[in-house]
Amino acid sequence: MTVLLPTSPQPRAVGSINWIGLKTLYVKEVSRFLKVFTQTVAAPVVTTLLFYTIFALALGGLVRDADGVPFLEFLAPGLVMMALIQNAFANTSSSMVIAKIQGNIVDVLMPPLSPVELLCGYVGGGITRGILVGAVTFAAIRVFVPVGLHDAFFIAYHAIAASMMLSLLGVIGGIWADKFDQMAAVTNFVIVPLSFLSGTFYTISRLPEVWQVIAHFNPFFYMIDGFRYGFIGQSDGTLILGLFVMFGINLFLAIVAWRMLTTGYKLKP
Amino acid sequence: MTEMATRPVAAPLPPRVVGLVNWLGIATVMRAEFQVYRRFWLMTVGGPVLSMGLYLLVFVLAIGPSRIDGAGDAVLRFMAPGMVMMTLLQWASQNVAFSVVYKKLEGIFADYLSVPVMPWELVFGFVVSSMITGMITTLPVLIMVMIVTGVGFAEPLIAVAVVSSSAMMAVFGFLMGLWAKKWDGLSAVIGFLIVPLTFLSGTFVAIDRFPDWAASIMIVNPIYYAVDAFRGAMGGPQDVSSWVSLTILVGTFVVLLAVTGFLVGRGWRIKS
Repeated sequence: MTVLLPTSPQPRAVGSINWIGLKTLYVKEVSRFLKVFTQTVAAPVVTTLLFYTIFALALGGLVRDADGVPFLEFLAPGLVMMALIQNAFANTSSSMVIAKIQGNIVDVLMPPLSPVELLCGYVGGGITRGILVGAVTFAAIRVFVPVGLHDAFFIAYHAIAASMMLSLLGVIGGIWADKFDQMAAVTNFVIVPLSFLSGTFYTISRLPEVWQVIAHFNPFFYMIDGFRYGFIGQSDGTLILGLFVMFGINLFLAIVAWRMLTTGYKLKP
Repeated sequence: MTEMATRPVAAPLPPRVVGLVNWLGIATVMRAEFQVYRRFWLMTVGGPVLSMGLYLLVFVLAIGPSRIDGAGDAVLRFMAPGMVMMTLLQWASQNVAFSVVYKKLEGIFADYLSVPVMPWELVFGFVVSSMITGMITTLPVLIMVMIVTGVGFAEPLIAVAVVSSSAMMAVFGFLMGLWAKKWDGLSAVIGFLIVPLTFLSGTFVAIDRFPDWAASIMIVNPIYYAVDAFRGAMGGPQDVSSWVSLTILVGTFVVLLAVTGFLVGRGWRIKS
C-alpha cells in the first residue's frame, strides 16, 4: 500500500551567512526593548534631560564656559553620549542575563547561528537602542539649546563605535554574570564611574597634570571627546588617536566576545 | 511503618493567643525584609556612596579648582544636605517597592495574606524595615559628604525629625509596589515620578534659580520640604520654617498611610 505523503519541507540551505537567522535575532533584540519602551527609551531620556537641567541651573551662574564654548553647548554632547553608551550596555547585558536566568538562552544557541552571527545580532540590538536613546535625547535638548554641527563624520563614527564598544562589553559582562546583582555591580562600579569621569561635565585641561595623564587612559574619554568635537569643533585630545583607540578597543572586545561564544564559556555546559 | 504507628503522638500545640497587636508577626515581616537587604549589601551600601561621590567629584571638577574657594564652596555646601536626603528618600521608597513587586510576581505575597497579620501591621512591618535599610544605606553617604564639604549639624533634633520623614517615602514605595503589575510598571513610576521629584526638590539648586513653572511644581512636592528642612538642620539656608516643613511631611505621611492601609485591606492588586 502506498501512502501519499505531502512533500515534507526540505532542509533550508544556509549559505556562508545565515541572513534569515541573523535578521530574526536582530528583530528579537530590538522588539525586546521596544516592547517596554517606557522603561528602555523614555525613562533614560527623561533622566538625562533632568541631569542637563540640574547641571545647567546649578553651575550656570558659576561656570560660563568651558574652553571658550558656552557651558550648555559643551555639556549637551557629553550627556547625549552618556545616555547612548549606558543604554547600549544595558541592552545586551540585560538581554543575556535574563535569557540565562530564565533558561531561554538555549533558544538562541540551538538554531544554526554561528558565533559571529550571534554576536552581530546582539550587538546590533545594543547599537540600535543606544543610538535611538541618544538621538531622542539630542532632539529634545536641541529644542532648548542651539547646539551647532561641526563635523558629521566624527558624530557618526563615535556614536556607532561607542555604542558598539559598550554593546560588546554588555555581551561579555552578560555571559560572565550569573545573577542580576553582579550585572548591576558592573554597571555601578565600572560603567558609570568611567563615563562620569571621562570629561562629560568638565574639560580635561582643567585637571591637575597627573590626572590629565590618567584621563587619557580612559577609553570613554576618547569617545566623548571625539563626539563633542563633531558638535562644537573643539577637542581636548588628539582626534586621529581617538579614532584608532576606538577601533582597536572594538576589535579587541569583539575577539574576546567571539571567543566566549565559540568556546561556550558559561553558556554551554 | 509499624514503628511509626506506635510512636507516641505529641499533644497538638495550642493556638497562639494574639493580643491587640501581633508583635511576632510584625517582627517576622521585618526579619524577612532585612534578610533580603543583607544579601545585596554591596549594591545597597556601596552603590550610593560611589554614585554620590561621583556627583561631588564631577561638580568639583566642573566648577574648577580656581573657583572652588569662594562661590564654588558655597555651591557644594548647598548640595551636601540635599544629596544625603535624596539618597535616603530614594532608597526608603525603592527597598519596599522592589520587595512588594517581587513578592507579587513570585506569588509569595499569599504567604503574607494567609497569616494572622492585620493590613496595617503588614504595612508597618514593610515601611519600618524599609526606613531602617534606607538609613543604613544613607549613613556612609552622610559621613562622606560631611568630610568632603565640612558641613555639620546645627540642629540635630530637627535632623532626626526630618530623617523620620523617610517613613513618608517608604509608604509611598509600598503604594508603588502595590500599583505596579510588572517590573516595567515599577521602573516607569521611578523614572517618571520619583527621579523627577527628587531632582526637582532643591537638592542641587535653590528654588529661585528655577523657572516659574518648575518652582510651582516644587512647592507642591513634599520632598522639597524634606530637603529644605534638612538643609536648615545642617546649618544651611532655608526657604520655609522647619515647623511648617515637618507639618507638611507628617500630613503627607498620614494621608498616604491611610490610603495604603485602606487599599491593602481591600486587597487591591494583591487578592484576585
